[in-house]
Amino acid sequence: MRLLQNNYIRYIKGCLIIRLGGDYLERFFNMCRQHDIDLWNIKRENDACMCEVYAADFKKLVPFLKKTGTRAHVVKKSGLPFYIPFLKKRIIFFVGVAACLGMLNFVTDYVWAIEYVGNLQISDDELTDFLEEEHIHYGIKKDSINCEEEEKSLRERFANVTWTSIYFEGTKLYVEVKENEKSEPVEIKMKGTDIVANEGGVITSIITRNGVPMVKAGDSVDEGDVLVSGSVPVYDENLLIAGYQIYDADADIQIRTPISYKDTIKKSYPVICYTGNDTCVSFLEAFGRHMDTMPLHDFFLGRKNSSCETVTEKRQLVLLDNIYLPVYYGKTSKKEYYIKYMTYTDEEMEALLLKQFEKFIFSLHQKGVEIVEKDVKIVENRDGMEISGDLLVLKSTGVNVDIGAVQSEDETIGE
Amino acid sequence: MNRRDVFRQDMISAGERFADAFSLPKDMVVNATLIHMIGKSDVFVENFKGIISYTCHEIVVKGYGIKFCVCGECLLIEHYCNDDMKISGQIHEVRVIREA
Repeated sequence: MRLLQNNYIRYIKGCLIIRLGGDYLERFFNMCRQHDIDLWNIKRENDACMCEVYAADFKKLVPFLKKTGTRAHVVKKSGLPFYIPFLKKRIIFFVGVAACLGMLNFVTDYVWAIEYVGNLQISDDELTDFLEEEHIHYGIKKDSINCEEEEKSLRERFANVTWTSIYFEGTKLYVEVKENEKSEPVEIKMKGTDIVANEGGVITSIITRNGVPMVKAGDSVDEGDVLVSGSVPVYDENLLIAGYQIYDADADIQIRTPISYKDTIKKSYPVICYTGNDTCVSFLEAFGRHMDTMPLHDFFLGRKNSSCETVTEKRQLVLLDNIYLPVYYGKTSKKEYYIKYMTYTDEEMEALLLKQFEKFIFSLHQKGVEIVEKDVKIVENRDGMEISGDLLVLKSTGVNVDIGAVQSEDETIGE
Repeated sequence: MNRRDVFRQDMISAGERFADAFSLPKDMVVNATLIHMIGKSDVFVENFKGIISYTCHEIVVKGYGIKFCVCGECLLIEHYCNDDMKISGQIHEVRVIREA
């Protein structure tokens, strides 16, 4: 321990490694000792002797050196007093390092990133809204967040959260939740619904599973007509309606209905042409201030009013995986372009229109719509070309609406 | 041995007897040189007069009434100050030489 202390003291006071030569070295050592001059690491090397002495004591050695005829040569200087001139020369560097550490210490008192863990049913946006209501946002001081209180209010706010933990790692705030995976059985409330037609046409088939069918195959219906009623009449002994039992109407109904299709294409179309004046610059964003050299590039390339495609890659500065700082860096690339108008030939326009029409037919097939008839015409007009057609399709129809809504509509019409 | 030496010897033995009687440390009472040896590589010396000779293989230290010689290889004086000194190296032998 004493040796360790000595090492520190030696470093602070500064010491010299000296080489001593002469015939009376022992006498010299004894004289140093008598005058309270400490020597250490005395090592014999042939005729000479290496030893260490405090820098401040070196001047005191001079009379003893003379008296004993010993020659001393300083081999090395070490310790803080010899380091001070080095520090003085680089004072700005050390001030910068100190300022950087101070800044880092200041910045790490705030939250610069928030991560949600374990939420499946509750979305990140919902949790963000909750935190904003609790006045927790990026840049808030860590001390101002009472994690236990926030955990409690999070559990109160979201009923399906069974466990939660809010904690910090570096400058990142973690909101960890566990949700109740066993979903409670959904109570199905029987409200009573009718099935009404989505569009007008001729009913081709109707298979009713629940409710009273109001139409049969071959009937023509208009949009909004009731196809299956959810009100099932209950008859008494005299075959009079004693009341109604309310159900949700359920049926498979096919309808033959016309569909019109129209699409146009213009003869001239825009094409983006890149000029090749691409610029990629790095940027730095700190405390809401954006710094880059893009305005200079714009000025020198003379593209003040030209159109540009801008792509930005932005990353947040992270220290040691967890210390997120309010400093962003990345690259911004700009591609200058101009719009050139090209012209389609008639064949190209026709091909494109037919391609679009085929896509439309394919989408109908995917929806389970069967095409019975189609009558399509391609006509050239002033701007370009137009495709229009009438299709007769076979599709399923019917949408459930509340019984009350249909009745009230009927009453309104009646009045 | 002259009368002065006899008197001195008597005083030392009287001091030793006194230290023994009162359980006091002898080095304090009779001003004796204290040598601690730690293992076979370190020797601490306290209450001594000075170095008589120093080479890589032998260090002769003068104490009060005795001289002792530390023999070995690569001997180094780790520190040398007014209170104590520490010798380290591969120590083979510590020899005590009584002064006549």
